[in-house]
Amino acid sequence: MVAYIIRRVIVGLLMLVAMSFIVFALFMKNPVDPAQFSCGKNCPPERIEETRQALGYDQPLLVQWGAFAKGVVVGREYPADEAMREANPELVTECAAPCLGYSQQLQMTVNDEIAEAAPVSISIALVAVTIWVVFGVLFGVLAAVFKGTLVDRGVVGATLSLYAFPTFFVGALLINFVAIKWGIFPAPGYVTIAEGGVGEWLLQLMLPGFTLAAVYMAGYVRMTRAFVLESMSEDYIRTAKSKGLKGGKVLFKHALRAALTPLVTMFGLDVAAVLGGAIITEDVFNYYGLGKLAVTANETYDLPTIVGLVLLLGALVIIANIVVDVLYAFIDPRVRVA
Amino acid sequence: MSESATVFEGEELSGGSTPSASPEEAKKIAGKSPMKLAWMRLRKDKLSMVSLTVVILVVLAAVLAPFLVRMGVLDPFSYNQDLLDANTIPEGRFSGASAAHPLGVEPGTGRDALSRFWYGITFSLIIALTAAILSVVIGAIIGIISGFSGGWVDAGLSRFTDLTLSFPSTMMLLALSALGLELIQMVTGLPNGPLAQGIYCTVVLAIFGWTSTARVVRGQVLSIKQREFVEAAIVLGASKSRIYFKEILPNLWAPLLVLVTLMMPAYISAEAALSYLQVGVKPPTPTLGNVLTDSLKYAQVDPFYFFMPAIIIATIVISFNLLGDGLRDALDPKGDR
Repeated sequence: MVAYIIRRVIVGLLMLVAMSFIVFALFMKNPVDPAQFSCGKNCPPERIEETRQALGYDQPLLVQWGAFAKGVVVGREYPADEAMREANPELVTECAAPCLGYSQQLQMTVNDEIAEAAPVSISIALVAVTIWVVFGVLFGVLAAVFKGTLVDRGVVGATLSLYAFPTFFVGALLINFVAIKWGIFPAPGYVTIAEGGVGEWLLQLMLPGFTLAAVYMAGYVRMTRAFVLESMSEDYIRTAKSKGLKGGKVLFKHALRAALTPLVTMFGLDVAAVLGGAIITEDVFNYYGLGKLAVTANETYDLPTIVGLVLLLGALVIIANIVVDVLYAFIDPRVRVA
Repeated sequence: MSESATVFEGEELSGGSTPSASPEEAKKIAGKSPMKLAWMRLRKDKLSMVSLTVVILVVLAAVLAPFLVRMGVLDPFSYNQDLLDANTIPEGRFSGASAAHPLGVEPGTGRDALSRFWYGITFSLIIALTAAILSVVIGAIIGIISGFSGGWVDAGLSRFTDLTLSFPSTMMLLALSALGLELIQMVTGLPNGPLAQGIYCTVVLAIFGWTSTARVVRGQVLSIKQREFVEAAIVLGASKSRIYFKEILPNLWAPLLVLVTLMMPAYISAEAALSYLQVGVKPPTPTLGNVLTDSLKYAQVDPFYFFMPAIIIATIVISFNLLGDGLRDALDPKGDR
């Protein structure tokens, strides 16, 4: 087991290294000048040169990547150019480990940007995950139990329809009708727990949470339905039934337990993905989370922010992959051998 | 389709999951080609037939649209500001629907709404279909090589697949847009227009979309390469290319067809998302995503115009999804469901 975990972690680390290198090569080593990008749309030539030095874009790719990797592990200082740091010591910015970069446009480290935006994304993710897991599994079990009936078709059909409408349309629909026109919910705007208490915070997260959950719900309903049906046809279910166990007990104690195990994999990866920011949901509702940060950074060509965000999200997914694999190996010992 | 593959499919099908079929019926079935058998099963499924009809209609509409535009029947670009009131909102109910404009006109410009939606289907479908085919080709090549070679090649390619899956795809689609578009213009010499933007959407969707195909194909190849007919071909001294293309590939058409059908709705939604994020094909070229994005502004003042494009997209997405599910069941009768 320990060997398995170590092997998974090493593979994960290698993938992180590979990913960071690919991202660097993609964004820094291509025909488009990264310094001009990072400097913004209307940037005078001397500012471009300054940006190039400040962010270290004048260095070879490997040196840049090495400096970035070192920054992630032990932290670094900006501007990247040593002569520049010595000339203006008052402008030096400390970027503590794990340093993900420095945004020349916002004049702050990418870490600080992320620290500001992350609570919003995490809040939305919490609400969305709760909605889609509770209702996804509940509806999935319902559909499986009433297989072939109107309930089954209704549940599967409704969640598929919800999935078929683009996220930004669902968001706009909720904002314009549920919130503004009918006034069922207050006009969307993120409120921190410190500002409005838990109740207000939760209330303001319901609409974006539902919008984000709508994307995932259909998948969870389908998977739960399929897994429950599969496990209901297993021999041990027949055994449980024939020894006289009640239907409910068979379903919850035997079938559901086995059926939910494969969902762990899906769940882990999806959570990692939404923790890193729901780009469209946050943009529609105008909540300044990591997704909205990415949209803004892209509009202003803020390259360091984009690179930092992509790597953070990639790392989240890779870590989630490891956690899921290890968890799975605990649950199902057959995995370890393979 | 090669003989051995047909035998294999026929064997699988005749021994399939219809224990109630009489011996006569089984005999009749055994004489039909696998495609015919799948078609027979698909025809029995009402939901699949309805969705197939919708899909055919949508594809027909998409193919016809450019001709109708050239003939002047559809006019997605002319402004009709005389049909708008002082606030540039269409006069009359249902976005000012009339005989000349069956679905009314677009707020702000007065362009014919039906023409915009209809022509938009064409652009969205071209992007989705090209991206789906590209993804499947990349995925199939990687999957076949991976499944056949085994060992280090397989391990490497599988890790590469995992790595691609770990990239935050929406963020990459967004972040790569400026660079990608510039690169495409440099490589192809195209101006920054709908074509270059469309190529960007297609390529970038395929780059992050081939992984599912690679995994499915690898799994299939792993099981197919142990079947008797492949062993027989090897023993008979068949060349590698014969085994790849004549023995294995025919058995992959069914899963690949299902994959393309299920990728279409995902890519139609993705195109809409790209348009919403301003990194897709830019207006005034109508795509379903562009039309829908534009309609968001008028949710309150012109609800009909707000709902129409969303309903069109949802209908197309649901139809392709249901058809994909139906095809999977029809082509693989031993599947879980």
